[in-house]
Amino acid sequence: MIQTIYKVQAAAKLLETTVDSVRRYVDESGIDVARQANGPKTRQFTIDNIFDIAAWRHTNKSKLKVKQRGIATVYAPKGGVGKTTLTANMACVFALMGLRTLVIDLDFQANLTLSFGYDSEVTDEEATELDIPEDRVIKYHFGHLVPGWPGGRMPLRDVIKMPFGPSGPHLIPSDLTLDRLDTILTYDALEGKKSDLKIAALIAEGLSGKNPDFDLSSYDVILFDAAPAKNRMTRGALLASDYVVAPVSLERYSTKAVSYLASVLQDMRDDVGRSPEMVMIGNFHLPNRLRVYGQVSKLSTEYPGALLNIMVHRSEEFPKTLSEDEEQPPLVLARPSGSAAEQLHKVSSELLQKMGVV
Amino acid sequence: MAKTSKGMSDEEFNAQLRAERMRSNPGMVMTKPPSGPGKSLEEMLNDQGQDEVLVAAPVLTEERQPSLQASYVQGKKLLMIDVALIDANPLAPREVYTAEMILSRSEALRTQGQHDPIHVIPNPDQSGRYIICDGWTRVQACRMHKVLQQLLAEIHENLSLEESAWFGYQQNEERQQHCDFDRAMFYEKLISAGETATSIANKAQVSPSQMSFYRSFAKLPADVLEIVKEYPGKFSATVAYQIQKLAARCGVRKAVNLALKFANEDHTQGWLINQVQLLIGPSSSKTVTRTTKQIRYSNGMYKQKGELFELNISVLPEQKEEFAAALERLLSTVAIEPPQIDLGENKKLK
Repeated sequence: MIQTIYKVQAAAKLLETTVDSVRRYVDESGIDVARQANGPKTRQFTIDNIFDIAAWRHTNKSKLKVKQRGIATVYAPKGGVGKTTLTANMACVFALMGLRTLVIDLDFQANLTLSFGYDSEVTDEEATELDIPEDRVIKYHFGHLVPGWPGGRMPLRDVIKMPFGPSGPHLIPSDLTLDRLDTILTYDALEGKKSDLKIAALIAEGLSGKNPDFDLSSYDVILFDAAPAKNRMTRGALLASDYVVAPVSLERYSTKAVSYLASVLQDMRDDVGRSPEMVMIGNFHLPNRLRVYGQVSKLSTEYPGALLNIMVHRSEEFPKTLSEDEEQPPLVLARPSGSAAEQLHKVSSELLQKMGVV
Repeated sequence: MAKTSKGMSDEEFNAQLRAERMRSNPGMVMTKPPSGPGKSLEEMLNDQGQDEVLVAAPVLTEERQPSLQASYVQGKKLLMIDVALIDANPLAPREVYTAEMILSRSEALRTQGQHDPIHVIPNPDQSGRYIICDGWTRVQACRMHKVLQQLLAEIHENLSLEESAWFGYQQNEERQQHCDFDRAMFYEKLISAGETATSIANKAQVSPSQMSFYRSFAKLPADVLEIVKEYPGKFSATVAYQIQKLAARCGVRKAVNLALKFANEDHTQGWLINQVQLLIGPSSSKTVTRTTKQIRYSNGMYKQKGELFELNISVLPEQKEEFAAALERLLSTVAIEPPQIDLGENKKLK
């Protein structure tokens, strides 16, 4: 991934504060920010610098109080609704707010992993050949953390990736072989074990902080990016989550998909007495289109309070495909001054409030 | 073509709105999500019979551990444990686990199932995990060849790590599963953990000299050790001692060559000892040997080391005079009188 360099104005946009405040934070925190070598010695912030400042601000200056931890699965029963793009960007915004954020790529297509700059297809040999640093190679994924994974369970520290340093969002990546976790869960189910609860139990173990090799207790927000297919992994993630965040494409008819999701949640509630609360994020919003207005109106009526007020507008700023822009970080970092970034900040903030995190 | 919103009258707008809304809901009854608060993560896991969940997902926290359904048979605590939850014993008495050994055990487990429980202790550092005392081959067979996900285990709650290692050691000795290399490495681990060689020799019931033979394994050069690991059955403690001696006197290369020859060809231990003697013989004859002799009596000890003689003996009162006279006579043949010092002069010096 290309290392983006920001001037202080962009840093202020990212941190949603003023230029003066950014300068003050840098001076007070002692975070080492490089200066331009030639010409005016302006500060040049790296992405890691930005997240370090965000974390420092949260500890030392922020009025933002974390009320409770938020665990959510970003899930849409059908693809192409911007699920992965939203997840990656929201994770970045949460971390820019100073929250300790973990995103778990549960989709074996590994698009979220790619959006953080990790091509899961790259092998060790190719990395050596192409001079890609070893830490950019995906060797382990969520499956390796699960008891019963062939060859034994890996410690979290060996699986986790920190694409923008320790203060940025942390990623449990994915690759094609994550699909095998579903096979393991299916075998468990065939043996009469409650495989649906395996992921929930794993997360509960992590949150308890009692296993030093799998300690999630320090995270404020945990986001699963689940595959559109309603497989056992997705069901497991939903059961482990307090919220399901469903991106809804407003330019297409999406009520059927939402209705289907509601029925999935109802089944869960009937089955185990627990289901995540549904939150919808309107995506590809076009304010002047009546069809869009109709969709919004319908969803708001049928699912009162579930659709967030802030919506993400259709924008040319979003990359058409993830692979096309794989050299770019998520949009909020790539184009911090754009209107799409601004909406993503607002949506993320509203979601956090909805989840009761802040 | 649809007009833009700005170009529409209110009537047109409302008509289109109704039409659009009708289209977005073509008579479909939408399912509602569950209403009201559901269970928390903990409540759900508790209500779903956590013991079963924990077996499926071995997440064992301190609170949950007691609820695992252990059975007691003749005072023994038995429990089905996920093989992923069992850790190796850092003081393990066995060093040698070959791929063939593990494969053959996995086949036996597959065809015959588990005959006897494995033995474990609770892992003191990680609640919910266990450390193996005995049965590591079976655990590895299950993990590597996916035979069984769980094994029946007897849990020894009162054994320390060292005691658990000794437990495994005794079990293996009974089954004659140890080779000298295993034993030697086990003793070395215990010594590193702070136990003395003498106490280990006592517990393992080996003589101190045998113990020093065992300790030769740890002194073997790395290249020789590789060969030993490959053919552990061939290298007894005596052989290890001889090869270590050869390495110390004549260098690693000769030791490696002899170890390889011994491992690959069919030779006796006697042959190896002869080879070592032949190889180190010439150089050893050049060294100045110091006569050392020590005789222990029930009432004392007589020791000769090079030119020094030491005698420490208690003599019965009735024999004392005669012994003293005889000893003084003998001493007069070798003793040299110290130079005479004038006592007056000595005082002045003081």
